[in-house]
Amino acid sequence: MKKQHTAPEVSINIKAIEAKLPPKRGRSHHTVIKLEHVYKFFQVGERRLRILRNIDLNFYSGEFVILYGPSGCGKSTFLHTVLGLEPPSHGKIYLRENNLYEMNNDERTNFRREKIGMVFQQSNWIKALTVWENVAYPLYLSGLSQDEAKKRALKVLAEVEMADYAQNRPAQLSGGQQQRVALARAISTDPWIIICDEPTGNLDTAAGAEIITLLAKLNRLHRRMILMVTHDMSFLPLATRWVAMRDGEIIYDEND
Amino acid sequence: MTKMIKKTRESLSQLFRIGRESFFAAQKGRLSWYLIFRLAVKNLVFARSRSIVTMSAIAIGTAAIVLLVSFGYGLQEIVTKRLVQPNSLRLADVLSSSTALTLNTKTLKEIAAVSGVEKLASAVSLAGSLTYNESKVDVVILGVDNLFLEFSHLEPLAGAVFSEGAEAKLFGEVPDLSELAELELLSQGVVAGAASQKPVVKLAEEISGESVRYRIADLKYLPLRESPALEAKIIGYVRGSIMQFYDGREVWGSEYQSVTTVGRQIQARNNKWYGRWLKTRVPVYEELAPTVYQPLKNAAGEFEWREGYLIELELNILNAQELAYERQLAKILKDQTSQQVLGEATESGEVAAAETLVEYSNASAAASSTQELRQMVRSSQENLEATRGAQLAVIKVKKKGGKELLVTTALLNIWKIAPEKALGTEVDLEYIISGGQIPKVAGRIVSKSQKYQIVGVIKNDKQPLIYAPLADLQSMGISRYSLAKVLAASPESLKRVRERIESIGFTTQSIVDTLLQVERLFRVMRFLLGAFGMIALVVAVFGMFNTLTVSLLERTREVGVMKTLGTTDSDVVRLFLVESLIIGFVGGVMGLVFGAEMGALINTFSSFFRDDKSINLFKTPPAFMFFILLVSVAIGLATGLYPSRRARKISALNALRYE
Repeated sequence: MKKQHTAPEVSINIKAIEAKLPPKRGRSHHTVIKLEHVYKFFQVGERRLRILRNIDLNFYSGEFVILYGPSGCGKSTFLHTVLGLEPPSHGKIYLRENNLYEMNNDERTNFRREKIGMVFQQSNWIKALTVWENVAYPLYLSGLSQDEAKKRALKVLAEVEMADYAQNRPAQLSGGQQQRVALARAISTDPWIIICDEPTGNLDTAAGAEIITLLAKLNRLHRRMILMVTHDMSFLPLATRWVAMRDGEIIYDEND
Repeated sequence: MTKMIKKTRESLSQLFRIGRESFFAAQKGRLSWYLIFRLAVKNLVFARSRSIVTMSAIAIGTAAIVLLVSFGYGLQEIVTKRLVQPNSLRLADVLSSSTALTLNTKTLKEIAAVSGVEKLASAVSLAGSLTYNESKVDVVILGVDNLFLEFSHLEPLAGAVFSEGAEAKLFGEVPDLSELAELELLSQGVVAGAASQKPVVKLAEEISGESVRYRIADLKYLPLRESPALEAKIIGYVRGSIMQFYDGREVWGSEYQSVTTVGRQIQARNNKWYGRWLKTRVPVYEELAPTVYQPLKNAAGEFEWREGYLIELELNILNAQELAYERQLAKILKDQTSQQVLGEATESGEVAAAETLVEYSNASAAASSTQELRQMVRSSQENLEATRGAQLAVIKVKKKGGKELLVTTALLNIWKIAPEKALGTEVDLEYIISGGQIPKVAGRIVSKSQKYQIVGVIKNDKQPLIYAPLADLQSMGISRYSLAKVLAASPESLKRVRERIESIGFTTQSIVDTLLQVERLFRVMRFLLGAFGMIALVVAVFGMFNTLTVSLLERTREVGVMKTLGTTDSDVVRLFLVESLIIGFVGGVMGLVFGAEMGALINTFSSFFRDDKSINLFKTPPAFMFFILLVSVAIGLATGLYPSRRARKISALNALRYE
């Protein structure tokens, strides 16, 4: 559910946020994600839906990209395609030099685990595990020993100011807290890209602002590339690049 | 040497390290077994109530099987305990399987020399007649020593076993007394090689000229031949009945071979052997198929009578006493006027007859050794019959002193004497020895009547038997034995000992054979009991299957997350399999403990009401426990297979879709 921002008192004070953050830094020339003539069709009965149409995009390291557009414009499919979960009908997708859809399923899984961090609108947990164990889970998969994994998990939890909740179960946390932990899990493997799909969608304004602040901080301090999909236009000033989509096409793409 | 030990230790520790690492350490992109196991346990603990219910269902099913099958094992042990007496797993009976190879002094020495044979006891069976209080009874005598009695588990009900005097051997170690025996024959019998005494015999010549009356064992069909020769045409079959008597005349016919034909043969002056046949006229049956017979009827629908020749085998020629009894019985039957009374009388007569002729073949006994006894008794009885009315040679028991006897309660019942009162009673005993028991001596031989004292009574209400000192029989020159018992050094070596003895050419029998039969029977019973318990387990397994599937559906999103986070499909499969394995295994262990404890509890409880505390109704052998654990693991694996395969197919996108 999308939160409506009609009341004036909940509007976000971008200036206040900006004041807490280090200054924006320019993007580098290293391409992280490259989409070449990407098309995606879905066959629904007799009809053939065109979800993505001829998308050509380059994302560079150090960018904070906000992808916005109305519901049903193809944002989610775009993300799934970049994540390697939804093969495009045409076109190629590269992550650095790696053609994503030339790998087999397990290779792609491993690649995604190590190179892409994800935060979703709804936090997803392994319910039986504690907060730190959930954060450490991708680290186990990366081959870290248990001690190392735990150490690292606690470190990233501290980065998102959630170290105090390490021993709790995720279900015991509030929505904002859960998203922080999700962010911690996303950065735990030190990925090339962090992909966020409406990370503030389920949060109130204050909690949403906190998450966005965290993301912007990660971008500016550690030059992490962030690709965020959102409905919410109020965070646009914090990004370094804005991409708008409509009916499966890029209609607007501008740098800071 | 130390180098090698060091090397082995190194390689072992290396192997251990590799094993530990592959269990604990994560491989890149894969979860270690340890982590999978931990995650599975956490998942099960997280859904603890569901896990407990599922495990309990499996536990109850397993407990049902354990309890029922343990009952089967318990029953088997009870039965086995009844059968097995001290040493019986080490004992085997040795029997001669052919006339060519007999148990004699020489072959017994050979058997005793077989490696693994610790002790050997032998017995002789023969016929005899016992005189007590001027009443004479034909009996079967078993010549035994104390060792044989011990091996046969025969303990006197009253009195004692043989004294040292009775056991004492005349010549110390058993010698071959055959030479001696020949010299001691008091009047010349039919001794092989004494040609001058041979009679002139013609084929089909009547032997005595007198008519004899005979009877054939119940339901036996004997072939009636055209002439007294084995190769002669069979013209029909005579049906045996205990109440039916036929008349005939004994004639000389062709010789027929059988171990029990002793006394029925004669060697004629032309050096040919002849056997006794019966020329008789009887109603005949025809053989439709082996063992299927049908009466032959004439045109008028009446029995067809034919005249032919029968071998004097498996038929019973009545002696004078029996004939008299028979005539009296016939007179009584004739006096009856009412048809109904006649029927009853016939019946009771039949019963009386059946009692008179002791039906040894019906004597049931648990131990196989008793079966042997039965054979011995039967052949002795045939010898007894063969001896009737024949010309006899007389022999003397050379051994003096130790004239002791043990008798069975069945024998005492004939005179209605209580076991305790029988002790010390003096009786006269005559041995009837058939040809062959004393080497080189053919024909019928009786011993001189000898006074014996009853020293012990053995419980046996079915067979009237006498146990005489084996040494006495040996002193007469008897060196052919009916049965030997060997005691192997250990139960394990018995099989090899038997094989070796059988390779000499003898047949062996042991209680072990019976135990194998018992084991086979109980295996079927356990299987059936297990099948009953299986019903409960199958229900539990379906429940578990359902639980796992529902739990998978609930966790679809979670599986999706795991996959987006980079868990491979095979790790997801492993996780679900390990979860169901844990449920199956823990359920199985719980069921095993519960079932076994329940059995133990019933054992304890029921032992209050039993005298023999050593008997348990329920018994759970370790091998069976292990089997149950294997089954529970297999159940876990089998039920987990389908949900885990479904989990493999869940797409990572499931985690990204909004609910």
